[in-house]
Amino acid sequence: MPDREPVSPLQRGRWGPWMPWLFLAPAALIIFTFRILPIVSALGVSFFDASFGKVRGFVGLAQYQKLFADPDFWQSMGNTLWFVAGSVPLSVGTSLLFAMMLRRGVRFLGLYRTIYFLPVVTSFVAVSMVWKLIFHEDVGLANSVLRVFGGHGLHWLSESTGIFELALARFGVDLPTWAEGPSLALVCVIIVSAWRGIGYNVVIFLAGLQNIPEHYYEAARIDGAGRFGIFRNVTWPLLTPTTFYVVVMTMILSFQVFAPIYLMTGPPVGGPLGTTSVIVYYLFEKGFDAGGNMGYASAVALVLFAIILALTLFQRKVVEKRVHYA
Amino acid sequence: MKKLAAILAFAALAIAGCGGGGSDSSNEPIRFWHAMGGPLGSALDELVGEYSITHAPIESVSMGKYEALSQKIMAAVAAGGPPDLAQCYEAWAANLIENGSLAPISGFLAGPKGLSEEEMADFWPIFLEASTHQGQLWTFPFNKSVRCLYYNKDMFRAAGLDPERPPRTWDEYRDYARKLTIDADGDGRPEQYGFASQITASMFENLLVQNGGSLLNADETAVAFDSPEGIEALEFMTDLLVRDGTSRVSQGFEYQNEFLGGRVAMIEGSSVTLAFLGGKYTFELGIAPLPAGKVDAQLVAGTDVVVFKTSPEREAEAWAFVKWFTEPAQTARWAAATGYLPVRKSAMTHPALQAKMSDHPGLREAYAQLERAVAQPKARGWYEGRTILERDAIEPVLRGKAEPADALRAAAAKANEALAES
Repeated sequence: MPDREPVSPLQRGRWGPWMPWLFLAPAALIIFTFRILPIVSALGVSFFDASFGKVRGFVGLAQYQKLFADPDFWQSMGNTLWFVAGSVPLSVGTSLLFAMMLRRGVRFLGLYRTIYFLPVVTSFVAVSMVWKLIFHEDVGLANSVLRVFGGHGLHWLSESTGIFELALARFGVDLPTWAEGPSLALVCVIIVSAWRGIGYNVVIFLAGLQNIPEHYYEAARIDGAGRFGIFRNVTWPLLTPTTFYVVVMTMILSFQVFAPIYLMTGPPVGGPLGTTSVIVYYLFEKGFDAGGNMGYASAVALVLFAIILALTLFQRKVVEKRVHYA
Repeated sequence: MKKLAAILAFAALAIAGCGGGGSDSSNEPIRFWHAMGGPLGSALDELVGEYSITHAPIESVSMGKYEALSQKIMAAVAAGGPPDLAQCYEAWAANLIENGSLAPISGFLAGPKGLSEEEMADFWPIFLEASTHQGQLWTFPFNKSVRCLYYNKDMFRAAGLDPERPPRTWDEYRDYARKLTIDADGDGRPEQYGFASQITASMFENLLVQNGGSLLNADETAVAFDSPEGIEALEFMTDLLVRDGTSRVSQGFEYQNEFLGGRVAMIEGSSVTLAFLGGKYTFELGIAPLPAGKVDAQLVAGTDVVVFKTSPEREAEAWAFVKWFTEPAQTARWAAATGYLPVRKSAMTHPALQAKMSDHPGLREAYAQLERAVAQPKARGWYEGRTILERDAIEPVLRGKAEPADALRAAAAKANEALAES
């Protein structure tokens, strides 16, 4: 008897060939309905004037033209880029550091993991309220600490001046507007959202670290490698798949940041002076708040989609070449 | 095989069952969406509860704040399932009318359960004017308020000011704020501020009409806030809030807490602010009309109520509640419990309101501002226009990044675009 591929009992009978599809169907249906369909429909709506739940007429690329001509859009885009540039390295860097420290048989490891993970599972509303209090100009912890060390209090969440400008102003340097950097208010939000995301990334990094076989470390130690050498030549390269995943995910989430902006800044939200208005908040405001222009908001959403897609593809094509899959 | 068929049949039934959920049974209670929270929500629920027992059931749903209410209404209208009743700002109404989502109030007034001419004459004319769009009453006055001045009488006494004579003019406003500011250690951060506010268009809007200006032109096709009157109003606001160094500009509603905590002598608020201050202060509270400018005028704030197009029976039931709620006895109790204005003149003599006004004598004068009040703009694009005014003119000026004249002109150009597009 010739060898036959083993056939599972489920694949026999009239329904056999369809069986895998039937099992996939529920998940596929949900993904199609709630992921794919909205993207396609947003693309469609972005070519129409659709305000207040009513599609008024085909406008072609007019929404996109209007979008690219709006200085508020560019300000939000700039703020978003600063947000990503600040929160990705901060979040990934600190997470890796904490994961490295936690890995080395610390006592009460479980307790520390719980502590670092707590912000992740805490409601962002509660987190934002507490941090707003910390950054309060008069009674906040941040300014109290500054004053103890003899400094002046800062305006934190209501400071619209860029941080580079703030830092260099005392040396009498006046930077041009484009070089002022993200406002201190935006930096506050970056800190809070990086802080909140650390726990999740630490857990991923810990899993990645545990995947590195112990014998590599032993071999390195026998060869006389120091602590930094081990990190540089063993841990870092073997951790790159995890790091890559964490960087990509953190970047995507950072581009889509909304909750901390909505909860911590203003009023008006996105303030002071629009320096914390990110692209998703801009989208939300145009789509739901001011007259509700869904066509315009869909156009914004698609621009954001295109940016994230392009960056992710770039990361997969270019950056992933440097990822070391063991 | 049979099992699979059975499972598929069950799944199909389940899906069909979900789809059939939105039945249009007319036995369901009338759904009323609003934005009343805290003490206002409790007061509204009490009246709604009473109506539900004595008349017909009403389901009251609070969306917490107006932004959320606006979003929910928009989504519900788009999905074809609006509530029966909702609170509604003047500038939202235009959208809903154009969408054909509303049942005009004028229709109910003329009907068998309508209101007589004498009854209509009992409503403050300014409210009816605010509810009229294209010659018809599309909305009905519900929770209306005016801005007033709240002040700490103890601080007035300590500063040698007569607590029964609050500031009455713009000049006095700044002068009082100066006298009420105390910076004992001279570090430039006063221990007591004369005045406090958040960054808001509301304050500017009132200063503008007090200065003889207006937000929009007469036919509401373009903004008019960049007039010389507007520039002067914003200059004054900047003097009071920033340049004089006598005021604190807070994030959000924090200034109310600072007033309650005795760090600030005067704040502006809506007549409803009283409900939020209620019982939390340890000083003698004064309430007064806003200091007047060249013109003694006031913008009416607050929302109306709208009836959505559903079925004639449901619409009639919804209107019946609105009619009951705005009857003198109910509107007086509502006003007494919240600080909103009674929508009918005869309600002023109701014992509940009389009692409240004898507790806070200043309220009588504050309510009297209604006689010289102006309605909010109704243009559809004004919702966005107002946001632009706040962000592009008021905020940059108060934060010292722009000059009033330039900022107002730039904001006006942008707001005009928004008005033209809508």
